Amino acid sequence: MKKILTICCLIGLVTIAVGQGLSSNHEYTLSGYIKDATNGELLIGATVVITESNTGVATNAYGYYSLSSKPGKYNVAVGFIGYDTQQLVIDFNQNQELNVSLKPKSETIEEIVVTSEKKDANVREVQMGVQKLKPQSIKQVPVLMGETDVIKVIQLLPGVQAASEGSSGFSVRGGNPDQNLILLDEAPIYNAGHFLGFFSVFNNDAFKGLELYKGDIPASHGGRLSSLLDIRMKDGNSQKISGTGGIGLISSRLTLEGPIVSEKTTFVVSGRRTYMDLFIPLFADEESKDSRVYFYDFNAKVNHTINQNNRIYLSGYFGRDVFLNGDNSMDYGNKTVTARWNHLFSQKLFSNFTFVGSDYDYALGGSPGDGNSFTWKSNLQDWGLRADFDYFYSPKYTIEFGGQSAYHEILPGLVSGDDENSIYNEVKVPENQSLEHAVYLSNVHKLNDKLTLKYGLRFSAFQNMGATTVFDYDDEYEVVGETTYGKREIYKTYTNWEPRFGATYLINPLLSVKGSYSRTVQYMQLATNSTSGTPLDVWFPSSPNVKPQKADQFSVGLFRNFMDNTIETSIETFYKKMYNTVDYKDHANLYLNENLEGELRFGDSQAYGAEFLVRFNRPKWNGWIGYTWSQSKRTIPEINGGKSFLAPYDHTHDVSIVLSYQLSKRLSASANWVYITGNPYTIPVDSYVVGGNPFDPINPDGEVLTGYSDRNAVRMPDYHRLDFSLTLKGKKYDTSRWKGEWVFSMYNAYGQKNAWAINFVRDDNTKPMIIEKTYLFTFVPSVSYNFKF
Amino acid sequence: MNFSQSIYKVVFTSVRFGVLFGLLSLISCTEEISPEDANVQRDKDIVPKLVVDGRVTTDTTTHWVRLSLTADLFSTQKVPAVLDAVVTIDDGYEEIELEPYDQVPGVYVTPADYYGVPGRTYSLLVRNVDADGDGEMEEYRAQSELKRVNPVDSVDVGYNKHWGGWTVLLYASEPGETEDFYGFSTSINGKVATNAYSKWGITDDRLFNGSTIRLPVAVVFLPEEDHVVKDGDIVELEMYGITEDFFTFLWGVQREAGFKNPMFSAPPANPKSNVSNGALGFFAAYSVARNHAVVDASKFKK
Repeated sequence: MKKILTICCLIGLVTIAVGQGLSSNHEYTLSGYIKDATNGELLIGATVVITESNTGVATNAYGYYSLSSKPGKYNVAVGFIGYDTQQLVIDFNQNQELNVSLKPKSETIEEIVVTSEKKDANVREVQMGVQKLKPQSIKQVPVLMGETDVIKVIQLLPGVQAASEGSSGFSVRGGNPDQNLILLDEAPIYNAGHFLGFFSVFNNDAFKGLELYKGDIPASHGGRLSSLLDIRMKDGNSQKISGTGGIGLISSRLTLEGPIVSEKTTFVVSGRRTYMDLFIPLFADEESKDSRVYFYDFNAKVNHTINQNNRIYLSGYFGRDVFLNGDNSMDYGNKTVTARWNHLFSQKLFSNFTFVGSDYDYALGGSPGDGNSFTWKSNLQDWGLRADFDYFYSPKYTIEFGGQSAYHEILPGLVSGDDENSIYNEVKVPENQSLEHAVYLSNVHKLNDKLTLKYGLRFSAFQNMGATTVFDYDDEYEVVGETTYGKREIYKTYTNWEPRFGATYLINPLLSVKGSYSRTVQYMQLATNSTSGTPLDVWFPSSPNVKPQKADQFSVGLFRNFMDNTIETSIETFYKKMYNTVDYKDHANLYLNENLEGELRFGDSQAYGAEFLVRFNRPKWNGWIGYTWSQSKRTIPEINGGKSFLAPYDHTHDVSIVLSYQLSKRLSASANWVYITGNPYTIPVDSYVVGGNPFDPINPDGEVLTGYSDRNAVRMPDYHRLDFSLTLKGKKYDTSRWKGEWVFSMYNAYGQKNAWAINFVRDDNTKPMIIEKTYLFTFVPSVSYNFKF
Repeated sequence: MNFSQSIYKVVFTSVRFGVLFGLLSLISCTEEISPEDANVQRDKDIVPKLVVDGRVTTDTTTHWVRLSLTADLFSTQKVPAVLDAVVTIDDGYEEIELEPYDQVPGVYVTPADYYGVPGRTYSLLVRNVDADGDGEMEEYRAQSELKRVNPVDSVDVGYNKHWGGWTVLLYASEPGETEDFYGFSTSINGKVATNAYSKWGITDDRLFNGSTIRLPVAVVFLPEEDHVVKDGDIVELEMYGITEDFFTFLWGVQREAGFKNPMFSAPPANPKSNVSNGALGFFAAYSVARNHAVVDASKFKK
């Protein structure tokens, strides 16, 4: 702890020194917030540029900018993609504050594309491997059952794939789904899936936008190897009460937002509830008629602007899945809370203080009312504090620094009988507690018009804390002892330096080359041995027996824009080496197992590949074409005889085509097509028979088992799918306050039977082996009605 | 090592008949595909391996060890039996050589008065076998301790309306000082209902250690499996005291026997054998306790 405090102080001192040393007396600062004129929503990444010198800054995550310049009268352009640019003449003769409201372009069709702040940001920005999406773009992409879903759209980006068919888990550059840090208003989401993972927990209407970092994760964040998905909730309309909503086949949703008393305080509330269970009686048999299956989501946020220097935000999420079937029940869900305070220490020093809480829990119950009844619970809680500072030293240096601390508490599992007559003893896997800290400092340094550097350093620490019991294992992973630690006793500390570095060289205004290196460290992982996972999977921390996972990623890319920046192209290549990769022994038991650590096997893995992306934003056409070639391998000495094997998320080829075409003022059509090399899987090579009884006439031979050889040695058939949708807007869409639209969509339009599972089945010794393919979702049509007012 | 498969088994039996699989079945379809479509590469050079399937129990009867070879994945023939092997079992007090059983090739039997003694460790030795066909004879060994088991105090049969099937309830006491593993098998009117390893009930003792076991042994008779229980039927339950190794093997068999999918299933693997030299299968020694119940259908609450 002392060490961390020291580092905090050091960073503070360095920053002040740099600030003092570099400070020039002959500059004045223009600062303020940039908003959407129609609803007061703060714009992230809007640009403020002095036209004469072509120097500028972008707004931060809270819509704040600060631009310093030598005295003089300059033309200043304030812009954001999809909005009319405002040209202002500013006399830099004193420090001044200026809030700007931008109007959305009246004629723009809704872009379905990954948007960037500046038209040429793709080429200019140092950041690599980042994709940004807005809710209106996400809405345009056809999806399963018409349930607009950010994660399903992310999966269409190069380098990102669904963990399995229809899953809201995703793999980034060959990594595991649990290597993605998913933040909702800075609160980590530990299970982003509803309904066995087929839908994500993110209700699109409640969000302002998202950013996905595929490797070059900013120094301000860490704790996961593969990616950062940063999702931010809307702030709420400050101009008027307004709403958005939709009625779909399986769910309905409604979002309300507006000012409270004055425009200084705004709110957003958003809810969604599915009604799949209403249809169960239609096709279920007698025994299942009383089954219930549903999920719901609730998002809420309140913001208050105290004055130009202080703003507070309070937001939360609550969602739950419920499955009931006679005696058995299962429910699970996330809860998060975020409180934030933005404070301006000066025009140049912006700060944000955040408190977050996150909770994931599940409960299973069975057979209430008789002695067999039981409850099985598991729970994960996170509480965290962070302080982040943006120091807009000059257009040449944008310095970010800060620190964070989080407390994790996990109850991996508790099973108990429900009443006194219970036949079961209580079984409890001991809780574990841990602390995770980090401090960071980074700087975007524009050396000249051509070369920009971004360098940062993150120092992270992870501490295991009592009270708990830790088991010692021998080389055979058998328990040889145990140690019990007292409450709040720190029994293991890991520390790591995580450098992050990036550079952009602008060859000409339309062409740049970029490179980056990042080290990431992961201290918390999900115990799951299947590719898509279940809601019952439990997170576990690094510990004396589990070393933190580490990754080094190198990336080089070429970025080129065409036709007035309406066509963006990029090639990014990456090489990622990961250490202390976690895998599991054969037939590992990951549930309710206090010796979970004995089931783990460790090794290294590596991934490399190239991602090609062409995005276009033409007057009528929108969309992108992405292609990824990649490979991801693991080497775990005790698995597969120590031979390297393909990671379950290895896909050699991955093509995504996402297109939207404006047919007329009211009618637009969208389609996407994906083609992915089949999942690696393990197949049997021979068969054998055990368990019979030669003296039992009914079953003398026993049952047929299949014998296996190498892990993931072959692939399932390649996966491909076409989805399309038509959006028809109401006649008075542009003039009336009520704006309604119908969306008709078809998922898997040509009914491709993509293998979800392949099973080898042989009923007895004399019948032939049958290979069975199980597939999900062919021809899923849907219709939904969306509205806003 | 503390396993908790029992709970897993109980819960997943519930879940299997419950909502999750119900839901999956609503949205999934299954069809047969060809080996080419599944990208199965048929390797002609796969070397056959020895498969050992043998049991020594506390019952006084003819015990047996079956030796066979692994077969081609798509073979429709019975698996090749291993003849002319020399098979011995040594319990630390005497070594006996098993005789080939003339009715079933590949089966080697003990004398009819042979029985296992709890507390002894049984060692199997198989010689004069050339599984891989290289012309050289191989030797295989396996060991299994014969664990004790408490008597089954009574058995009861109940009906579960949500599963639409019958469960067998077992009453027994459980020794508190040891970590114990159990297997269960049932028969209706003398016909064995759990006639495969994947149908056995298995559990460890974490949920009941040192207390009275009152357990639905996760054996369910379902009408669709031709197991209908009527008034007056005699349902017999056998409880086996097994080793942790055998439990682990059975656990593996049960994992491999079920439907596999990306949500619930780990990468497949061979159940862990206790036979040396790369052989598959298991040589198990275990004690048997049994009891039965006469079904009283008036007790079923429909």
